[in-house]
Amino acid sequence: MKDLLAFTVIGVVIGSIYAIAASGLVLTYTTSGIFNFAHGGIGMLMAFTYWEFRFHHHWPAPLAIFVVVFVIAPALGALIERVLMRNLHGRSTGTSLVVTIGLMVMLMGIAQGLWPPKARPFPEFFAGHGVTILGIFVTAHELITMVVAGFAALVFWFLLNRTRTGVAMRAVVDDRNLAALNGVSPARVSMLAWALGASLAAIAGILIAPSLNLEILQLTLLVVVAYAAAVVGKLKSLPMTFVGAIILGLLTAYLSFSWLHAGSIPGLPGALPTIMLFVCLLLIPEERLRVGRLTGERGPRVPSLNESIQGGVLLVVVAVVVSFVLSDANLVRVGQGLALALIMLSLVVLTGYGGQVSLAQMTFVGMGAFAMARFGMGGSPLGLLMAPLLAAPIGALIALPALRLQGLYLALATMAFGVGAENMLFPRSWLFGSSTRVVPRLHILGLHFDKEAPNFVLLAVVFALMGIGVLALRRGRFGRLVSAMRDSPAACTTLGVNLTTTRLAVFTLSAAMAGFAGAFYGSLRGSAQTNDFLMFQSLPVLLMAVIGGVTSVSGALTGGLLLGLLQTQSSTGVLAGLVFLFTGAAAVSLGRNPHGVAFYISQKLEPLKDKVPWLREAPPDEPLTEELPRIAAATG
Amino acid sequence: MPLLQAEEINVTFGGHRALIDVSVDADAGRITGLIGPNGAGKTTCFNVLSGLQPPNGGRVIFDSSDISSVPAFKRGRLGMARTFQRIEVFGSLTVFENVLVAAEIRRRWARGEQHGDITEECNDIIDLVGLRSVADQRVDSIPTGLSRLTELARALATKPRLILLDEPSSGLDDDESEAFGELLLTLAKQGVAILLVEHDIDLVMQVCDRIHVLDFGSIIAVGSPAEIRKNKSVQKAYLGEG
Repeated sequence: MKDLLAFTVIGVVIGSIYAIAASGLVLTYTTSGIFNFAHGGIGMLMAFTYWEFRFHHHWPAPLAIFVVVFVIAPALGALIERVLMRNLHGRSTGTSLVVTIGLMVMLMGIAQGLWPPKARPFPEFFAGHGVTILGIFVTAHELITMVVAGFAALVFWFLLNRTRTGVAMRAVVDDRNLAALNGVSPARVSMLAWALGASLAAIAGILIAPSLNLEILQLTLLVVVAYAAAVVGKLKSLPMTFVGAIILGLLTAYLSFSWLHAGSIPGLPGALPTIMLFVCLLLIPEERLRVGRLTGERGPRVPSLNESIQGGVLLVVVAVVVSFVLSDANLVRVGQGLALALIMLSLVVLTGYGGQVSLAQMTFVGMGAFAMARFGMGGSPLGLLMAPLLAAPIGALIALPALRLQGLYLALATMAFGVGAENMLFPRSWLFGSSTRVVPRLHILGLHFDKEAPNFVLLAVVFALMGIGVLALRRGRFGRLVSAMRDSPAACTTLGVNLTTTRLAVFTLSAAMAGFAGAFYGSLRGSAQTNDFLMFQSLPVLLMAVIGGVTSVSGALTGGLLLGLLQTQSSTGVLAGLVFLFTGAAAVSLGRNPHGVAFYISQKLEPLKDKVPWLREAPPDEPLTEELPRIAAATG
Repeated sequence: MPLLQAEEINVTFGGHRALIDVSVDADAGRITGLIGPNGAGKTTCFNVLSGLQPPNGGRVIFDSSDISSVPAFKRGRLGMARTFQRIEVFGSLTVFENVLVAAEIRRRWARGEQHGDITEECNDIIDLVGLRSVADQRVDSIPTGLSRLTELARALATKPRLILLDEPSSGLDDDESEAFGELLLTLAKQGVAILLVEHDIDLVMQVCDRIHVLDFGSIIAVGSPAEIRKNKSVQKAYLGEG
């Protein structure tokens, strides 16, 4: 009984930190309409900054706290709002997702650059001190945490209900334009909210850092816990968010408690927010479709079948030439880019055409790689067949609860699923376990692809075929339906379209494509393990696809080659700072611009085409003939 | 019994009662008007009928069965189509593709039926509505009036038994408006039930068989165009107390 009480205290403490983090998230979301994926990243960066002042430069704790929580964090929040978020107002959910995810990835890159991985002791406040209440020893740090959370709740209530600024904030939430007409400056209110939000993230980061050993990934993942709590309040209600946070904290603590007495399920604590999120998603009622949105974005000219075949042939010819020129080591590097481009094709269908965002694409890739390892022994094509068959149903299962709701929820669900899979699914001994699985290369029709050159050409052929297939899909009935659904979900509904099943079909197809690509990705690398398919690895893939141009096949090729280049150039392993910093920064600057790099290049070459006769006559080069890129549009 | 019958619909937004005990109906082969000042609740009423807005009370009966709890997409499949006051076209597709996609959608859910040539079918609709000259243009590049007609053409491609038209003639000039009136009469002759929300009172008086007048969320009058013209409370609602 005493144990149970002790764990209850621990649960409330953990829940308090979650509540602080989650309330900051809700505050910024409600006042600016932008869901800040970088919320955990801000907390992480601030925790590191605090560590720098407090333990590296030995500032007194109160001074370090004051400078970080009340000066640097709000300034950072305000800066982010002013530079990045203000321009996002009214943009599609997809665009704002890409920018905040880019910001998160960039913050991680900055932290890795400034604080390279090493042990950094981060003691609790007043370590060793505490009081005994009802026979239970509560540390000073725990007491402080609970008091801060309670205080934050009070301040919030007072701010929102008893001050002019609070009323202005609530007005901006209800109707931004109307509030502006009544003399409220939505920009100022939103800047204030972001400053406050960043401060709260900083507090949460500093309080939780001692138990997470000041680790970049874990601290950034605070955002997952925060939104799992916030979903309880439908991302809007602060009191319900507090309730959600405390429940999540208690569940985490009781789970540890039950281990003392019974066996443990490995990875369950890490997956707990995922489970909670999915339960909540199932309980949230279906949202009303919004009518009267602006529809029809500047749109694509889809290449004809002939054009896409010509582009594909050109790619394969170039690949054959390259395979003779480059060394094996370099072929693997460029091949990595092709494999990534193949993965990004799955995002062209989902994000580019369908307007949905997935943050778990690498999880599906991992399933494909596993299928190739398990069923493709000796290079059997069965592995290739099983890869999409394994990824597709799991994708469907994951997406189903979120698809009834707005686009943001699908992104949240996939992110949670990615985290859940890396904690509970992939580490299972029958999947990857703690070891590395060998992924064989294909042996088919007497052809062997064990050598680098033929495998490289194979990748190019597969990409060309898939690209032609994707474009054919886009030109056909299904492509028209998906475009129609992105332009106006409401109109589609009244015409008799079941939005949920159609979106499900798109997501399942995309998951299957990612799984299929995973078989090639795994066999190119020759091995696969849990750490290759962390949720965080999906983010550069999404961001780089958008940078390349997620609405076009040539954009996927550009993005894949860019990311491959970046990954192979940064040698320090899976989370090399360079990849994150560069991808994040590029996404932040380009994410707002709907036209990816592929489109930019084609625009630059357009005048050239008219001047040079042979270029005009030439078979269309793929990047030149792709449809006009366009960023992920929000779905209703 | 009318094809569509809505009984005592109530909708509340927060503390505001947008619709109060509203009953409307529409017969097959007839054009029924639904008029009223701005903010009277006409579009909300359409949203309830088409299933986009769950009402707080009341029933919607279509073809003798209660469809109050039927989701919007299934109402579409029962033969109920609509247009939107704030246009909801598929802007990235051409006018022809807008119609084509609707015809394709219908073929997905009406699998058992005999279907003719889809291109021919769509072209017929485009000619009927008068969109031939812009058929191959993207809808986000054509004038508003034509976008509205595209919405109507798209609705027709699902072969509806009832069409809810939300201010279809705004954005059309006088000649176009007149042609549009003729089009509505033609459709009605083919047996389609039309429920028309419209600001152009002349058009309404010309084509409608019966008119419902909505003011502040309540129906204040129902009757023939002549009766509505004479009705005192309608005049008051439109012209004010003076």
